[in-house]
Amino acid sequence: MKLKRLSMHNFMPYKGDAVLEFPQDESRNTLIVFGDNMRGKTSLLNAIRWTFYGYAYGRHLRKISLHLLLNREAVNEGARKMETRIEFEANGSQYDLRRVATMKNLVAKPERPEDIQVDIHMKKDGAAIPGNEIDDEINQFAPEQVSRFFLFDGELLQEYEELLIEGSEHGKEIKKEIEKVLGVPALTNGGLHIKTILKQAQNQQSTEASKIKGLEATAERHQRWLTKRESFENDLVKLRSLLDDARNSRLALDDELEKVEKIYSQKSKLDSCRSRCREIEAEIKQKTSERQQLVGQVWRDLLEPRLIAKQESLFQEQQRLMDLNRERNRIQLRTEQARQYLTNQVCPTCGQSLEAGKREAKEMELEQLRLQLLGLDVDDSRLTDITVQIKALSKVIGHGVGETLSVVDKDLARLEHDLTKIENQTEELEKELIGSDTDAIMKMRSRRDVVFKEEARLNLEVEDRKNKIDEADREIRILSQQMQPDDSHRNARGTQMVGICEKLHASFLRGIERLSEASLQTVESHASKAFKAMSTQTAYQGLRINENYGLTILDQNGHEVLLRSAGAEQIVALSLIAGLSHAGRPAGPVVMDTPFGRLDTKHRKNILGYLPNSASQLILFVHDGEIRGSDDLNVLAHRIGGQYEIKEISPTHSVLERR
Amino acid sequence: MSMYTSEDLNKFSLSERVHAKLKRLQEEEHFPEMRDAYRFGIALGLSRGIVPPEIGSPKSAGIYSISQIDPDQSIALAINLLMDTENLPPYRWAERLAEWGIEELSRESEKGQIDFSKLLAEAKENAKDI
Amino acid sequence: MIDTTKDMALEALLDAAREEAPDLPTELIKAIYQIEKTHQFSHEDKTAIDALQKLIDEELSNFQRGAQ
Repeated sequence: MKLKRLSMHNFMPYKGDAVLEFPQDESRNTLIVFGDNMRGKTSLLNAIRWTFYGYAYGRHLRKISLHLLLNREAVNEGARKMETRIEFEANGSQYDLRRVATMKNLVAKPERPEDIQVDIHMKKDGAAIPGNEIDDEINQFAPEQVSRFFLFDGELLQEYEELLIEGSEHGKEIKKEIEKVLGVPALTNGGLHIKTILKQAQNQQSTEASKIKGLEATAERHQRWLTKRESFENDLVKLRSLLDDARNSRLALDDELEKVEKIYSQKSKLDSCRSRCREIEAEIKQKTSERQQLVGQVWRDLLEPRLIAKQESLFQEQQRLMDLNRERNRIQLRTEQARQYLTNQVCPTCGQSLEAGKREAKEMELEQLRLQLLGLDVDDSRLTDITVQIKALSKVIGHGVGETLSVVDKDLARLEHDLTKIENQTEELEKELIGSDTDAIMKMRSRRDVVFKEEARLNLEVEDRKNKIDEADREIRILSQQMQPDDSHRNARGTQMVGICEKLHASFLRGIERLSEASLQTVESHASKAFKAMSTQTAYQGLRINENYGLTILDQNGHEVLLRSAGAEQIVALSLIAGLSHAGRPAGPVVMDTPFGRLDTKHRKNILGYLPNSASQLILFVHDGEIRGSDDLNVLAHRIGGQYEIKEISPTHSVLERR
Repeated sequence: MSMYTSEDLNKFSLSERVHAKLKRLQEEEHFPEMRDAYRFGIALGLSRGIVPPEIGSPKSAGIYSISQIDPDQSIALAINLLMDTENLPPYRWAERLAEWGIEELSRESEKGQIDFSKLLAEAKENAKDI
Repeated sequence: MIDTTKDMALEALLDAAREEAPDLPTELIKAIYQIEKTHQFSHEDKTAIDALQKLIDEELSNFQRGAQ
């Protein structure tokens, strides 16, 4: 398949007419379209997608509602029609595919999909193809189920990382998509169709046997099991439908909750802040009350320094007076002793007689003592007063509360500071949450949990029905054998039909297993080659594939490289795409939208050098940050067959300009 | 030993002007009760060794009894020990100190919440100098 | 680019049929596969099922005629 031209009229930002011509030369098979973010790159991918399949994707693979695809400016100016057209070549024929969306009569401005009528027209070599055959025709060369591998949105690269997560839902879905590429559906469908025919044959066998004497009872049991199996199968269909609904519902809720996760977490923070505010306010109230009590007592602390100084001075004075007192007592004692000595002529201490010569000395000593005593100024009442004052002071000093008050003041300052901080946080959170319905979020979480439980229950029910169907199959086979006691019975048409269908069914089931194994090896081999061509790590051996088509990098010793950068993930994903391109669908173009976001310069160059070889046409939608002008383009220069730039006229109007 | 003499006053009072300031100190919740502010005013004056002037006129009627302000006579003791009251009885001295002290507190309160830590620190410093 | 889809799936099927249905003619397997290949992305099953039924009926008739 080879694309020739894409024409758009009033599609998304492309007001009026816009045309993209695809390169036709195989040696120059690369087209690059440059455009900044939000200008219309993804809209080009959507134009192709919408033309082929009738839908367009927004972020996170959500379908964009039909009425939102019409260019707003054009509608405001009275336009009523949107159209996209792809001219291409496939299997030796020329195709012209047009999809037209027209506003219905009486609709002034489309507000819902129902306001628009969509028509599709396809010509093959000039001859119109009937409407009901167009989808089948498209699926011959651009099967919708595998379109994600050739209409490739770079934002979805991280999906492929899911393949490494065992049992992840996304991984299982992608695995299914990959198996479609590899032709597994031909065998899977074959198995299912053969089974349908087998069931009919089994019914026929049952009917035939019921008419044969001796086999009526067996035939009846056989028929009962056939009926049971049908009932289980009907149940299974219903349960799977319910399970899909539940899963979709849960995924939608998960998406919504992811969006509002931030709100939920902010609400929790807000509740926590408010609670903390209340706690702090209570603490402040308690501390303030404590402070007030202390303030009533703190006057004593004001006096204390001077009172302590006074007390110290009184102690010194007391000591001095007591020293004087002691001195006086000593002198008085000596005076008395001297007097006694003089009076009694005998020393009162040792009892010796007073000698004549020593009398005069003693009298002089007495006189000196008398003079000393006179010189001593001992104020006994003062000493008493001081003692009383010291005692009174000791009752007053030491009852201050100053230090405690200081601690309480510091605590209050800290609490006030904390309170201000928390109040500011609370105010900010409240502003951020204006308009958010946090109760609704809580209810959504509850609903999600309910749906999740329901999903688990339905999964169990599905497994149960599968087991019952398997059991029914076994019983039916056994009874079928019992209805063939001899050749004449074996030759009955129904029985023979059953025999053929059972063998065919077994062949298809076994074939699916074989194909999966072979596909894995082929994809691994091609993906490895692509990886080695694109990676800058020349020592790496290549890639290894797991049964979910997840790829791991093998280093030079064949060991798994566990820690991969974002850039490495992108290359692994691109290698998988390249591997699938070689192992899968018929040769055709690959359209890639912003695939290079996380890559460094070296990897960009390697990839740009390799990719043109991996498809019949390579169409790249990039912004300037992904491919840097002449630097990267030099690698591609010899393969470039055309360049365009998307220019913005207004936020709702872009144009394509050929460079 | 009682500090109270018969020449001393029976009730503490203030000038009407300062009495109004005392009320405001309590209303603005600087002190839990007005008598707490009254006591603090006396103590503030004592800590700074102020020689207080006579109370201005007009005077309000007696506001507090002695026992309401100085039940354990520690204020009287402090005045007798720390001040030369020029023979003025201690509670008359205290009354004048209160008049001065409350004016001072009123000035402090104009800056916002009274910083008791600062006043206590100043009292410590003053004690070294006096 | 090589389109290896047809070969891989058919080869896998023929390989499996050699084990599971050695007495069924290879042409029947190939014919059935071709029908499935043509309709593998179709949204309805009836066309394919009817075609398969016809093939199998023919095969059965041939077999019964041969047996007679």
